[in-house]
Amino acid sequence: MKIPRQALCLAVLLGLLASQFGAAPARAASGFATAGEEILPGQLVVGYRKVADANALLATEGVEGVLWRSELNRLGVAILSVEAGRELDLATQIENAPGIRFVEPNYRVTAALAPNDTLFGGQYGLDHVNAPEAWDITTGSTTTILAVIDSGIELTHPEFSGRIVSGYDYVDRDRTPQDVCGHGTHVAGVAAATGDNLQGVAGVNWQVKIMPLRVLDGYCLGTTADVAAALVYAADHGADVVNLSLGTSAPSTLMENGTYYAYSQGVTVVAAAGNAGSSSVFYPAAYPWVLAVGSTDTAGDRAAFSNGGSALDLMAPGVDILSTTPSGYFYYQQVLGTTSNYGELSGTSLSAPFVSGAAALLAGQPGFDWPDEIVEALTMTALDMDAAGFDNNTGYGLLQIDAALAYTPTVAPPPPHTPSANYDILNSPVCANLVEFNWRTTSTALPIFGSNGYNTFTLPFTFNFGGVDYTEVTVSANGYLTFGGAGNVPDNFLLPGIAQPNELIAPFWDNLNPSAGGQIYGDTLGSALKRVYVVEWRNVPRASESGGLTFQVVLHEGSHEIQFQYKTLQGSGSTGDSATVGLEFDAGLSGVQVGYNQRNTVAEGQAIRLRPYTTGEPLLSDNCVEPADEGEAGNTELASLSRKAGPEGGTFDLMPFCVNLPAGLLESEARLTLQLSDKEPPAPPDWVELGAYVDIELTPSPDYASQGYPIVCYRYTAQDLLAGGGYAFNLFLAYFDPATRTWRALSTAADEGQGILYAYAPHFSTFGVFAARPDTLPQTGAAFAWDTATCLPLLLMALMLGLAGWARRRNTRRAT
Amino acid sequence: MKRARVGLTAIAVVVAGCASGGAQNAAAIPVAPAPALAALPISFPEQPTVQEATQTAGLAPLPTSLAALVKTLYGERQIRQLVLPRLNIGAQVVPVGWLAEGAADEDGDVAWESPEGEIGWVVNSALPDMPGNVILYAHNNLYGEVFRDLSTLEAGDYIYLETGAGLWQYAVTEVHVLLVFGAAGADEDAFEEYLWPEGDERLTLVSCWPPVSNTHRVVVVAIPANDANGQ
Repeated sequence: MKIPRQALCLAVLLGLLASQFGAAPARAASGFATAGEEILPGQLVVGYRKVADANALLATEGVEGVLWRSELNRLGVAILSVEAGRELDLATQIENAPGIRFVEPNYRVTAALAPNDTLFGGQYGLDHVNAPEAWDITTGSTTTILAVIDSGIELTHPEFSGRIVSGYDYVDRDRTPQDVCGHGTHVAGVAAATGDNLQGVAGVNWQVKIMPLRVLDGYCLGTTADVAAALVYAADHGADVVNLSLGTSAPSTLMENGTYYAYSQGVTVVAAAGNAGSSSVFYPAAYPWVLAVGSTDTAGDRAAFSNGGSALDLMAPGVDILSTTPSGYFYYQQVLGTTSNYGELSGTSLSAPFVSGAAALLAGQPGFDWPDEIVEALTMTALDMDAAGFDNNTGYGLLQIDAALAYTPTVAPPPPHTPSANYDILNSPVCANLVEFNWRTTSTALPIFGSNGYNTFTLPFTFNFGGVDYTEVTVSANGYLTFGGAGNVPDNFLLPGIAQPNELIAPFWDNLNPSAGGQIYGDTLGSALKRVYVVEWRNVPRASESGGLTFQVVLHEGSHEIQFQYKTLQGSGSTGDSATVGLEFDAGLSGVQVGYNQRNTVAEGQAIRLRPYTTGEPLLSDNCVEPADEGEAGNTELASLSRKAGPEGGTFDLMPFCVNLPAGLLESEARLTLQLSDKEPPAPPDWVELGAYVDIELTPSPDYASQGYPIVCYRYTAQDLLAGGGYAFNLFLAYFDPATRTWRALSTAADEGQGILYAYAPHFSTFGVFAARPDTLPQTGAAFAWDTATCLPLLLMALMLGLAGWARRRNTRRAT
Repeated sequence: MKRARVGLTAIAVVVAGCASGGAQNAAAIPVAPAPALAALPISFPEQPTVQEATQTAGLAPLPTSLAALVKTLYGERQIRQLVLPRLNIGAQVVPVGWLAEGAADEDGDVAWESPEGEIGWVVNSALPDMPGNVILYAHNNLYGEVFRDLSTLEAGDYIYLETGAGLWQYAVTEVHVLLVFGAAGADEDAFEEYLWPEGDERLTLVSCWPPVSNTHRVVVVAIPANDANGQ
């Protein structure tokens, strides 16, 4: 998949650059009141459980009345009129009254919070998008993450202090994405410079965490391969919004796949429309799932350089935008004269981060859980420009952040996609007992020429793939078969991926070059009803590499199974370092991935069988015997499971337990071992033991605290439910902490539809299933007040009778 | 009446006071020092990964109502009715369990279900056809006051349980009135003893006492009648 850097460098285009140099004159913000300083005299706000609880407060001395307002009633909130000057004193008095949830003074709020940043006066763009009004609602959330895929960031800039989360430098291949171009720092500042910090500029979002992903080098150039990799990283590492202030005029399967992958993982992807003044939006902004942003100028009109077209979504300021720049040397300083720490630039590159910063504001608010909801709120509330409604010059119009925050999205979340077929992976190094390497000899050379050559052939039998019957197949030079998809794509991606090729069988999808050596063969072997169709890449090198790869894919008649076999793998990157191995179907929505850009995905002499199965059928791969485990067979009869797990994650079943590793949890391959157990250390006496235990190991043990947690699940039975008091919510998972020799209960959720309990696992160790049980006797009587004088004699009598009963019990016991 | 030891044998009901009057034992159920995590997913995360949780799909979901669950599991074996001729009691028996209240990461009380005007069979206790302790409880001063006069039972009184398979006869051997769990002077182990099965077959009836204050518990122990006759 190595892409010649030079070719792509030219195509990756950045924002149009500064026309004015130097920072805008500093203008001190005028005085303002912070919300919370001033309270309305004679009023308190109370949250109540019942109306009667609020009315009961009238009995409190100093409380003069209750003001009901219909819009507050829905919130269970009322306003008390109280003696002026005693608000705080009365609040303390009332706060513990029965049925009162909270009490607080009625604070006076100041409209349009004006930050005290020294250069704020030069930031006209924030006013144009109503950012100050938006800041009255929110200045962002520290739990959202904005990924800036750009030239990195000035890691020491005070405007980002404490707000940068770990990213990656795809240029230097390290973890310090320091900006030496200047573009990324400027973009990041527009979206997210800290506001109200008495210095410099304010960004749109003051709280969001910034994930810098460096794909543009010291000359501000990059590759689509790095952009795609950064998109996958962002989606897999919890980004909520991605900003792409870059693009090309030509479509790219990698950026199409990368942006869709991020979108499908719930990331709002925002990109610059491009600065060519052309009538079509650049890629990746042009993809339908990417929010394309054009530029307006200081007068609020469309900037002449801003690309238009049907894919344009929104406008935001993009001319003479004042923002942050690196502190040390950077390219723009040399070329454009941009000043250190702060400076002005122009271009749609600077418009996109207004929108991505706003999208991150929304993402931190309830009700905006899915990119479509955020996009709907941003576009439907935009200030209309040019022709009424949507138009190709200005999209839906100018971003209005305050209105977007107040908008309630109506778009329905996309229905979950159900794959039309399932494939079990039988992989011989892991399943030594299930798949045999069985090399087929081929002799018919296929007419496929050129480094991205392909050709379509009639199949000798109907082959069902992904639930669809096919009679012909396209063979690509780049190591894959496709049923109707593009045959010429060298840039491999994760499976499934939305871009071409779709309907894919990929024994080794990489940039292969048969014109530099080798040949592709195809033959039908075997007798009717048990035939196989074999395609073999024989001694074909990877592009720009010496050393050939010989592998084949075998399609089985009848069973519709698919087998990949690898005979010789020579040269660098020949074990899958930059290749995709797996299947994809359902037009790019379903897939089975054996490996993606991962060394040692395949090995010489290896066979991988992909076997279709129906849902619910036991998986053959569950019966895998790990070759390394031979000779150390345990003497226990309890079931166990040992599987390889990789960054793609997955669910691993060992009835009744299962383990789910989220995608991206593991950075590299590890081995997951589950062992059922029936003897474990005793649980606390007040837990009901349900007798189900599993020992879980993951080696090597990863450091996954920042990327989520594995989930341990348990399928409970009717017996479990009854032993636990009848209800799934009484059951919980716990793990044994070997350090303290104690069981620790885990916060457990129950899915009653599926009959599954699940809990995040802080560590892997021994897990068990337990139930809470009552520590009180059944309540069989009504509560009676017994502190009144009339009850006292009865109480005394009761105590005496109790003692009598006690004595009788002792006697009875002696008698038996 | 020796029967094969099958199915549920372990019951574990730690008892304490009625809420009314007595000192409420509010010991925390250690249901979870939760790791500092975001909310759990509502359903299994759908991931286009190589191994889906496919085996779950074939399983039929369990009934979510307790009555349906018990019916599915025990069918005709479950107790339908209790008849206590001396107290003129003939009442329906319904399965009852308990519910851990509050989120799992909070200290939550565990609350017994109310049998309302009927008699509750504790779902983790035994059934008449299996070894162990059959535990029933009912209200004494609410609804139908089914067990109002439970403390007046005497050794030798007969109790009948009707299941789909027939009528099971028990004879009362012990009647105890005990201070509630947690009250000063209460013998906390006593409740556990009465309500722990130890493998022998018996029937235990529980209610509050006295009706005006519920400071105590009545515990009635009965054993299968032919065992009683044989003694």
